[in-house]
Amino acid sequence: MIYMKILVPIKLSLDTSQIKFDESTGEPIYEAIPKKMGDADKCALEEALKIKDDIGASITVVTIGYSREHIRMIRDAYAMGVDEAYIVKAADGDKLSVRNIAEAIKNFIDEKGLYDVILLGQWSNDTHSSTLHSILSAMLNIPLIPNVDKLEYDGESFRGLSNMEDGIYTFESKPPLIISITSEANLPRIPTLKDILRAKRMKINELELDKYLSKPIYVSIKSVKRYLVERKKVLFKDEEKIDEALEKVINIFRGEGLL
Amino acid sequence: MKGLAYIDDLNWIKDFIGLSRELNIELDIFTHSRSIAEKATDSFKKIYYIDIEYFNPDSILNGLRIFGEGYDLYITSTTQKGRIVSGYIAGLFGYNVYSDVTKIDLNKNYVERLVYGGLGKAIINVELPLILSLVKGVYHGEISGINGNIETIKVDTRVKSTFKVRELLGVDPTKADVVIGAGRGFKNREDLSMVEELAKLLGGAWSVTRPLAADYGWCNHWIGISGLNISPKIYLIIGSSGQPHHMLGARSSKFIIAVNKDPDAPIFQECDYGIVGDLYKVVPQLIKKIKEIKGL
Repeated sequence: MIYMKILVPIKLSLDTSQIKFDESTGEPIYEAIPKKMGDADKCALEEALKIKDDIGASITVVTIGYSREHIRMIRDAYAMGVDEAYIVKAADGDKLSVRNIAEAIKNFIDEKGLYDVILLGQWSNDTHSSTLHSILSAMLNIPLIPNVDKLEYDGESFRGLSNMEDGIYTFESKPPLIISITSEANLPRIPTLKDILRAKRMKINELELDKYLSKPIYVSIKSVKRYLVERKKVLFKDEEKIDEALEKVINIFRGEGLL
Repeated sequence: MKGLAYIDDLNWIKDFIGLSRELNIELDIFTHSRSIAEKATDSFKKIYYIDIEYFNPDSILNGLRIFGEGYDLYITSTTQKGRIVSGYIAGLFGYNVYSDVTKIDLNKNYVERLVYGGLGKAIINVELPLILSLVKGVYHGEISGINGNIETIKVDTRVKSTFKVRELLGVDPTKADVVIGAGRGFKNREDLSMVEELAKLLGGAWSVTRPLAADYGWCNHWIGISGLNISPKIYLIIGSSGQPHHMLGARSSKFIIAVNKDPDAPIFQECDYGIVGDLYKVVPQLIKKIKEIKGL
């Protein structure tokens, strides 16, 4: 049996489907927004677990931050089936630049020894930057298979199918590799009660940030506010007035030279 | 000030021309597409063409090692490829990178970027050198008649790849004046024939939300943060609730018109005109009216 060493960096993200803004200031009400493991990170973890099921693997997760929610996220990962978890303690981890996050993960890998595969989510739920995978690829100088919707392994190489704007790409390479996974790649497994109870007993390895990052660079955020494109929001609710509404729509088409 | 921009789609050339003029940056271009490189010679002095058949991330990384160092500002589009490339630049040269940028003010040293799936906008203090992925439509400039020079870059790759071009069903939604979008309110693939007919009558394009493409396979492209970014004069979105990930790909539309039977659907907060009604009644009526106007 092939035995792979897999690392899955995971991020605690804001659940943007439940985001709330203060009506008067337009600022997010952070304390009212739940946090969770990013959807794509969870799919990356599921891909790692599928590899473990198929060919055997040890799966390590690492995250940067330090809160009760981070601990809960790691327990969730343990319940899904990971073997080892590390938390790099950073009180303001969510404000670190993505380049800094990549640097800390690189230094973690340099210390622990190279993994065969580094699987991570294409992007986080909150910032959607989709840059961590390629920053790590450049820093570690190992190839990237990006934005994978479907992943296959033939015993030698990984092949990822990637849906991009202009068409469908397949990328294929041998480990060591970085592979980023989309949130549509799979349906992550739901742990059993037994798994959840077992996860509570698993050890969470705590690491100090300054060992992995000599100079933390925090993103200097001036403000964050609700973003609304100003729209007219004229609503035709009355079914009796559909005809009137359609006339309005046709006038807009005419006004734009489309009819 | 010197900049380097990555162009992966011909549609973005005018965005980068506009940026170069507005920010007064001497902008070099790099691309993996021969046709983009040739087109760019009309407006940019220096173009690096990475000589590959189609996009291969590892080839781009290796190309950047050859010519990418020493610029003040690096720009990409917010396409999937643009985001990947911006990360490579950050990893290679050690600069900060921000995506989904909607405003750049280098005199006051800040950028604005979308966050939380397009629901929020953040103002971030920045310093050069810097890497930014730009949202479509922020800048616009016309081709200027420069006779630029293409330098062909030969590179190796550690990643084998294949590519199958997405066959567009009709007009390209990213280039159309009117786009008809279909959401989960449609019950069957066959029902999308209404959307196709409407698009055809208006000389426009049609597309869908991601679930209809990725989950149901009803279309081979979709509009949204992970799909196509459109900026038509009119976006008519039918049977979609208006999830942020979808709307982020359509926010540059001049007018958004929505049809949805749920009066509380978020789409009605993001449209200019909204019709609360059953799409299976509203759309045939609209088609009938347009046909009457056109004498069909």
